[in-house]
Amino acid sequence: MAHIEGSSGGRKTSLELNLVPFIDLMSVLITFLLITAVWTQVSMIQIGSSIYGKKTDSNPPTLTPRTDVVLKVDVRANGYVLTLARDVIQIPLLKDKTYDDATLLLRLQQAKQQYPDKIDGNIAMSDELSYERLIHAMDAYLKSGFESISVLTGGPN
Amino acid sequence: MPIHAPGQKFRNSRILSRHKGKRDVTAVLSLTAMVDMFTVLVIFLLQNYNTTGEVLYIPKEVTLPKASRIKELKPAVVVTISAKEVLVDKNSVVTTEAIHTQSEWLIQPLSTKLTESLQLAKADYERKLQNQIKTALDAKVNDGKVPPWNKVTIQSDKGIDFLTVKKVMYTVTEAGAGEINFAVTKEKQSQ
Repeated sequence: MAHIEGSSGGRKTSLELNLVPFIDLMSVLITFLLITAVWTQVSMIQIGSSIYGKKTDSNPPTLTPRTDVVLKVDVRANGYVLTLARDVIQIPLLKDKTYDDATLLLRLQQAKQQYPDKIDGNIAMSDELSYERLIHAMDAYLKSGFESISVLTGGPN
Repeated sequence: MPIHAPGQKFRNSRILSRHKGKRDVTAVLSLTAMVDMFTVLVIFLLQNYNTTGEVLYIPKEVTLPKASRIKELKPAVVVTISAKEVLVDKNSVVTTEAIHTQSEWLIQPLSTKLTESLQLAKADYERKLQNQIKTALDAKVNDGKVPPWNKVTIQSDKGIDFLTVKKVMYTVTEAGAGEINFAVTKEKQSQ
């Protein structure tokens, strides 16, 4: 037990702090937290308006602002191709054969500054590429502020 | 024979016997280190504690891609795509190899199973609503949005080719799903 002894005056005073309930409480709390702990946090990333979605009369598609401006990211085996209105920007692979996600993000952020109202963007991807590339491209869109993402069925141009 | 007071006697133990030895030996257990450790552990676990969130079953062979701009997982029908097979809510439906080989986009076994699952989800949702104020909720919750039962979460291994994912997405939509979400693991932001 933790105790404090004081020697002021003639008599000794001993203040004892009872640690047993504290340790009991800690043990129960640790057991509960360890059992309920989630070590891998799974979240989700959402497609804003997939072109796969069936368009019915009861659920008409809602138009987002500045849809007239084309914004498309082509994910190819040799890198990204960003199409913004009439501009086509090539973002080739890096020297170590990885995709240049930083440049894509930068270009998309510039596009957002150019068209602040626009929230939609398209992704076209080659069939043989891995699904991870789609998520990275979607993440770059979302980080730049384009919330409504569509995945195109056809491959890149 | 002497009469002793009731209680445990330690006749042979020199340490525990109170009356035999001439000197008292007290075994002191230092609790400070243990209490310190408990406190640090509790603080760490409380920091990592999640009060909300959906728990998703992830098969061993599935490695989810990472993303930083994520949303909280909502309850939905889960379609898992691994290198071996495609599962709907833990039930194996079709092998990934079969999807590779087929040229059609619609995966028939997946479509059938998914339609059943969505119907079950719809029935479950409507049954719960009957206990609540159904009309009021219908007017507010489904105000032009996708109904809660009509969502599908696709949980795919990051190495799966996009064509397979596209076929699954097409089938999911054809089966009547209104909203598709991709399950990802949270990536720590470097900024």
